[in-house]
Amino acid sequence: MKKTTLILIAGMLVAAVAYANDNYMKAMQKGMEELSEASSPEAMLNVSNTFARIANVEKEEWLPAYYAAYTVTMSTAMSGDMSAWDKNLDKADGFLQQASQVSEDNVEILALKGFIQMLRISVDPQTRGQEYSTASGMTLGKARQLDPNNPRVLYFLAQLSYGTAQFFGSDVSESCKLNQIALQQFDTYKDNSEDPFYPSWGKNMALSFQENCN
Amino acid sequence: MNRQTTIFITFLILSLGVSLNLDAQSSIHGTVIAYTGEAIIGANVYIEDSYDGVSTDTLGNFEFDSELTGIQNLIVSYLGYETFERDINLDLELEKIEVLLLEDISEMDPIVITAGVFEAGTGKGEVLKPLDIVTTAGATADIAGALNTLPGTTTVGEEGRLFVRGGDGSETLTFIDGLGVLDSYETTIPNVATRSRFSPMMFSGMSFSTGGYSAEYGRALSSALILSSKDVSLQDRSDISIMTVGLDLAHTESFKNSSISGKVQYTNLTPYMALVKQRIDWIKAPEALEGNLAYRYVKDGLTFKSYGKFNTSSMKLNYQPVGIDSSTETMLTNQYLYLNSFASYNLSDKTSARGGISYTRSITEASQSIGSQRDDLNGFHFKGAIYSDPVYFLSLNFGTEVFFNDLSRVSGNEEGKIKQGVDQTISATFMEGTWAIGRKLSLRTGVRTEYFINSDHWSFDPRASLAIKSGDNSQLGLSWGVFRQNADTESYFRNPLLSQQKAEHAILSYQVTIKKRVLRLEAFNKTYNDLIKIDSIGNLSNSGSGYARGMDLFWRDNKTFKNVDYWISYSYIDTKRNYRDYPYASTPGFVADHNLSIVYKHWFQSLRSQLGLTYTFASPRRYNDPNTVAFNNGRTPNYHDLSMNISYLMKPNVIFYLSITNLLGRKNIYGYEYSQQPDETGLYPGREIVPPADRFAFLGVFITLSKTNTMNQLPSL
Repeated sequence: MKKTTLILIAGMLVAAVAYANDNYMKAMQKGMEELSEASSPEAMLNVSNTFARIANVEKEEWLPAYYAAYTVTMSTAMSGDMSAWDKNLDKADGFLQQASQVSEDNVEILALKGFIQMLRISVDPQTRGQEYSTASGMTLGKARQLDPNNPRVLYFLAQLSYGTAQFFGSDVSESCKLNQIALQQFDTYKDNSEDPFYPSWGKNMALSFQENCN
Repeated sequence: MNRQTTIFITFLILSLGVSLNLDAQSSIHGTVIAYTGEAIIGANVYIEDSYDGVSTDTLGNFEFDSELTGIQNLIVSYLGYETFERDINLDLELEKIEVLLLEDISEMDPIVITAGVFEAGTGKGEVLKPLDIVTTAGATADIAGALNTLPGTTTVGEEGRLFVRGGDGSETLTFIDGLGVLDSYETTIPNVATRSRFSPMMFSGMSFSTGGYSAEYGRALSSALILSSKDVSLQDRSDISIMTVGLDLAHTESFKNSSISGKVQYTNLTPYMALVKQRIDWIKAPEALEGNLAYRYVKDGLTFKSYGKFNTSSMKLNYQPVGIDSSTETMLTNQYLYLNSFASYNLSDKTSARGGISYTRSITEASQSIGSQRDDLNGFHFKGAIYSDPVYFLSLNFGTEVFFNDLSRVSGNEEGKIKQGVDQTISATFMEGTWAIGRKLSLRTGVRTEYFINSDHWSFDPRASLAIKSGDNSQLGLSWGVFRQNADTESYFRNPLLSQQKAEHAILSYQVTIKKRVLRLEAFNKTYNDLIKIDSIGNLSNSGSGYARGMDLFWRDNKTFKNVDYWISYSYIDTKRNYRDYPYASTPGFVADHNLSIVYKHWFQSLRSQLGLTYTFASPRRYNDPNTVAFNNGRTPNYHDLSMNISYLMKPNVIFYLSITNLLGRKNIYGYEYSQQPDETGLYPGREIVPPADRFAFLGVFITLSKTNTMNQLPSL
């Protein structure tokens, strides 16, 4: 009798844990759906709130905070009003900080961090060009060392070097070549985590950037 | 299984089932509005430690369901506002929840005290960036030269130093990381403009105060130039500069938490002087060799910065005094050492301690065949201070400092030497609080206590500044304070008991930003007391006095014209002093009543070049002609100068720079100097004070070598 009880209790505990995990999966799934439907800066911010709530609960996962950062970043990039950019990008950086405390030296987190640094240049290119393009280059460089095949890292590096080359009037073909490699990687890249929510965005951005090269 | 166990297990399953029961749902709904009444869109409304929540819609409304029970903490958060929390009981039917959000004062841009201050940094509030200061035509990358185009300054071409709001060149003191710098201008001969010893390249932030500055800074009667040196460098780099005046090499090594930078500079004006005719008869044009070393360390709330500069310079010329036909071979040499160490440490979230020490040693020798004079200046400045934010609406800054300097002068020749010496010690404490009063007012009050050992005198100087946010984009400011400074060291040779000189400033300022264009208006009134006065028999005392009042206007626009950035600065001043050997109160010769600067910068993308143009105008200055009865009655002509510079980005890491002052070649006359002795006819001979050449042209190539090869020296040019 005792053994059966124990098995039953153990079974219920497993079910409870599975239930909790299942809740996380459900919440993330819901978040991803909201994300795919969001097409305006305001809608993106609402999605960031969803991921922020998940991140508050799931202190062991980096993806919720990462997506909170990603959605705030996208919302900012979509928004025309540059006066609020710095504050919002600071918010995105805050979420990335949260994510990197759970997962250090994470290539996706670094890629997004590099992208945020690139966006900061746009706020005041004359003053910030030097500082943030160097900083972004270093962040993306570190990410590339961690994982040379990551398509997002390659695409951002292509865009950054393109911008610099354009400013100095030098040759942009290297950047375009890099973007071609990035495009290939978007199709073939295999992340090691087998996490269904592992980031896979960016191909559209790389495709539209590619148009500058043709 | 027995019946007890069955009941127990059933109970467990049922309780599990109950918690999984989707029927027990509560609906939570309401509105989120700001304190000012407007709806907040996109606020995050949720139950603590759960996924349950939603974002507010375009009307600020929210509605969501939760399966949780009992008392839960409802949280509402939105960027820029204080987070709202309230306990709600999910077991009861919930009424509509009205959430009122208050603005988060700590996250808002603090209202920065701006009366009398121009800050250049990379933050948002600054009117100028360090890049602006340094790409200003006419300045030839000299800090003082560039700051001269800002309101509150008057152009004194033959000096090249900063003359602020009626004060003379010695009334501005330079501080690097809070520590004073003595003799901050290069050694030069009289009537030849000098430049700052410090390259703008070293600094990440500059605060130029034309009056009313913080109680932390003393020993400056009119203005403080507060410079913050750069932080740890993130990348290795080497810089090579090849210029028409010399050569410099710099290298920076960066490590995980620290960086070391070194620079060696050699300047020799001989080739330039040979090409461009000068009015000075040089035997040996100025030549200097300099070394700089800087170390920076930042880790875990500890910042340590150490900087050293050593410079040796010399020049030889045939100097012809006024009214004398012959000239005398004169040699001028200088050895200069400046050391500065600064550390700051975060004691807690809200408190940080900082301290530092600076040492200046400058040995200047002027020699002629008839005799020589050697000045040996030693100066120490020690400072320790604390910043603390005890409550969210108050910031405190307090500290203590000691200044010591001694000057010894040996003059004469083999037949006899006179030795003079004077040393001065000042100890001071300062205490200042900045109060955020509501969301629109900021008040800074402080007091500075000084003890001047030489005159055994204690002083107690209050200072206060107020900033009022008069509108979304405008700010009103008021500043008042008492400032003190010792007389120049030479006066102390003759009267070691002189007290400090005193000035009282009152400034009213208004600044408005109209769609990224800035307009600034300031009015000021200064009274001077205890100025040095020389009586008819040559005794020195503190009985001099004076006043200075006027207004400034500043307009900056980098939006209207594409790729164009320009600013216009106009100052008017009415000032008189009765000091030194003045027979009565008179406007000093270094003052021009009207000063106008128009600075224009245009970036040509296709040429990858920036063109800068600066036009400066100053109304006539006064000079004293001893051949007339009235004092300071002479008037120079108007001063006009149009200067230009071009920066060309040859490659990402190579910059080509050309700068020419006084393009139109106007013959400006700064004043007149007269001999002390009358000639045979009883008249005092005099001559014009003019620049050594009509124009100064400078050409340089700046190369930066770094890993990414996209770095360059543009930010410092």
